[in-house]
Amino acid sequence: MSNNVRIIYLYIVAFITLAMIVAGIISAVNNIAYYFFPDSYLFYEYDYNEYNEYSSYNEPFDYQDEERNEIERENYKTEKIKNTVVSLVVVVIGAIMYKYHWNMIEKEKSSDSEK
Amino acid sequence: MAILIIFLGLLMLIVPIAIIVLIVQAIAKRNKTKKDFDNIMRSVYIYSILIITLIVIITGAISAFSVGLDVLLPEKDVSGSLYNNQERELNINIVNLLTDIAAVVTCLPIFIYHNKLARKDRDVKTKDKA
Repeated sequence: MSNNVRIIYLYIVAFITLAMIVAGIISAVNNIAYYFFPDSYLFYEYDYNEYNEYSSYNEPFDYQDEERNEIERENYKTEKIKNTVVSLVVVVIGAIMYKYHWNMIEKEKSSDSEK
Repeated sequence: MAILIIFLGLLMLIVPIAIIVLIVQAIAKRNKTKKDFDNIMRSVYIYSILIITLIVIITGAISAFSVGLDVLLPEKDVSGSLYNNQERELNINIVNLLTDIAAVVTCLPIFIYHNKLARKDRDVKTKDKA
C-alpha cells in the first residue's frame, strides 16, 4: 500500500512540476513581450482635454507631471523584469524537481522489469 | 459565515483526498502485482499529459492565428476615443501573439516526447503478450 502511495506521489509531482515549467516559460515570454511592447497608458500620448471627460479606475495618467510619469514608466519596466526573473526561477526549480522525480520513476520501472 | 467558509474549505480539501485514497485501494485490490499498478499509473500520467498538451497546442494555434490576423490587418479606429489608442492595441496584440506561440512551442516537444513514451509502452506490452 505504501509503495502504491509512493508511485502516485511520484507521478503527481512529475505532473505538477511539468505544469510549473510550462506556466513559467509562458509567463516569462509574456513579461518580456510586455517590456518591449508595453500596454500601460503611461507610454502613449493622449489629448489632455479628452482626459478630463473620462473618470474610471482605468483613466490614464495626468500627463502634465512629466517627471512623475517618467518614474512610473521606469517602475513599469522594472516590474516586468522582476516578473520575468521570477518566472525563470519557477522554470528552473520545476525542471530540477521534474528531472529528479522522473529519474526515480524510470528507476522504479527498470527495477520492476529486471524482477 | 467564517465557520461556513472554513467548513467548505475543509470539505473541498478532504473530499478529493478521500476519492484518491478510495481509488488507490480499489486499484490495489484489483491488481495482483505491483507492476500492474505501476503500469496503470504510468498510463494515466502519460495520457493526461497528452490530452492537456494537445488542448493547449490546438487552442494556442487557433488563438495565435486569430491574433496574428489582428496584427497584420488592424482595424482602424474612427471614434477618436481615449481608450482606442491604435499603437497600444497593436502592442497588446503582439504580446498576445508571442504568448500563444510560446505556449504552442513549449507544449509541442512535451507532447511528442510523451507520445513516444506511450508508443514504447504499447510495444513493450505487445511483446510481453506475445
